[in-house]
Amino acid sequence: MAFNEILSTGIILLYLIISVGVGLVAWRIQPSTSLEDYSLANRSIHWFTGFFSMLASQISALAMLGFAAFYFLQGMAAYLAIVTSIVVSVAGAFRFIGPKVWKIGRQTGQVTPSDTLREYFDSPTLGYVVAAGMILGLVPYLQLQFMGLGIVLDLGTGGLISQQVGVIVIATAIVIYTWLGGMKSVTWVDTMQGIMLFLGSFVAGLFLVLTLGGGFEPTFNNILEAQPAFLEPIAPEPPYNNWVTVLSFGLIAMLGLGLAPHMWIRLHYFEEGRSLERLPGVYSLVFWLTQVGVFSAVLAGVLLLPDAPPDQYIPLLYREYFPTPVFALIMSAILAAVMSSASSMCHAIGIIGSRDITKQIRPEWSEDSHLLAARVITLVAVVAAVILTFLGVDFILTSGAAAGALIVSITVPQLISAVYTAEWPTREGAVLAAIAGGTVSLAGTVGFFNDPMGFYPGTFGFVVNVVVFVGVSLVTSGTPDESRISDWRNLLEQSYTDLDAEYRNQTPTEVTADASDDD
Amino acid sequence: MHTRRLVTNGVYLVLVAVFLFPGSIAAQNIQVEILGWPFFAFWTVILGPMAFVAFYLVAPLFERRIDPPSLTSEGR
Repeated sequence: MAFNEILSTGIILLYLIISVGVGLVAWRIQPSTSLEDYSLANRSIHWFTGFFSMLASQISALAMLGFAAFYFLQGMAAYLAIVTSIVVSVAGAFRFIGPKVWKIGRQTGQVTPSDTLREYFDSPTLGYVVAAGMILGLVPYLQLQFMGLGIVLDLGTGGLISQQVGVIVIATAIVIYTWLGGMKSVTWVDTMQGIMLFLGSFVAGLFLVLTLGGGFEPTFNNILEAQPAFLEPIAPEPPYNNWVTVLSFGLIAMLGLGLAPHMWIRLHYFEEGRSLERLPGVYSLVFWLTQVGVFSAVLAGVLLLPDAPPDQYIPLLYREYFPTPVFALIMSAILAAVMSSASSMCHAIGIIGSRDITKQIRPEWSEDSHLLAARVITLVAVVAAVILTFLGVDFILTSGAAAGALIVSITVPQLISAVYTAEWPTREGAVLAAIAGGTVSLAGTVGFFNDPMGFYPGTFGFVVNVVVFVGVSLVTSGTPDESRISDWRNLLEQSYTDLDAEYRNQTPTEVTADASDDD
Repeated sequence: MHTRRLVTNGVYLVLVAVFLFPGSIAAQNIQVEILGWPFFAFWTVILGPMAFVAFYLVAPLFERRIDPPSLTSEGR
């Protein structure tokens, strides 16, 4: 169909203005006055906005462009790996640890993964190691969002806004509403963007498979005839031609994206504990339907645009087969996905930097100084990610999965043992395992070794973490304090009802003071 | 020990095995060789994920007696 660059650019710019406007309205209604408010909106987020903010934060350039490229290149094996990550791994993690994280955080004032580990293992060193690892994982993850933004803007405006200019404009917009409004602004904008991207990806994908392919069955039959390997659950060619690779990618690398700091922080922000019980079902339903839409679009067009660049496949397909206003709206939805994730990551980096680093080093600073530190660190992270974007990385999926594998390899075994109040791990084991797991994950990602068993590069660090964590804990003695284990178990036994009531009897100021005392 | 939680965790493990290896291969074989239906990804694309979604939504209701709600916080 004929593409009108000016009309498309106008619609996309209008969308950007509305997004920033929503963020500014949230800030004007209730400005952030403390680090607790900036971090978690005083733990008062309603379940509806909370769910859509989590989804919008998770569904990113990776989900809309990287996963589409993955489906395009690897077919059904890729879809199986991604859906596994959604319904088994990430939603499963929310089910098994989400309510526990919320209960502990509600009563101890914890916000970040480093908070939980530092307190449980009574180890500031572990807090610093995990915080550094989280930032190391988040910055390239943030960088790939800006890469995605550049691609979407370039294709969406027909080149009227170049990738470089687009990245700078949107990074500026994100910094403005994240700096001013913190979690409240991010959540409001995320909710609007989450609804848009769900409708954009699901409806557009189904429309394409019904119109271009003539329905699901004819589409499958055509592919089965032309490219039968595309529909095999395990790909016939490397790298996704064995279960170890598919499952280590789906269960481990993607888990890191689900438990990345910007998602972990959101486990704490719900007003009511019952929201955590509903989270796995709603999350897996909406994320799965979104990916059904993306996969449908790939099925509809894989035989039509076989030579398209994988990362740009979805925008090119929509531009080819939709009228300009519809295409521009879908591009705005994809832009929404990418912007919401980018702003959530910027926000998370600011919180980690301030809570886990500057506040630990300079506890005597005032609340205003810590809040300023969070905002400045956010700005520095955005600038670093933009610079990395301009230096360039070839393929969005590569850096996203690597970030997930790194995050899992540094934190997950320790976090699980903490929220399940395990008695056997020691702080020496936790620290050494985090360092060893992270190092091996990075080494695998940059190609220092190839795992002969077929683990997805980077996820071998998770295996190393588990082995070192258990091994070192068995021969060292720094186990968590018995009274802490007892306290946490008592916290976990309390009902949501009691916790909701207790929290509401405190004012936000009292909560902030309590959290500061804990530090 | 919470018996209901043990039951739901067991159901989760069964679903994982049925959805992943060897479940997806078995489903493909059943659909292609026994049912003769070429749209053989039906289990992987639609039924498997739907089973998980249903599980996540129903399991907390089944487990609710572990953490009984009170009249003061429910229904808001």
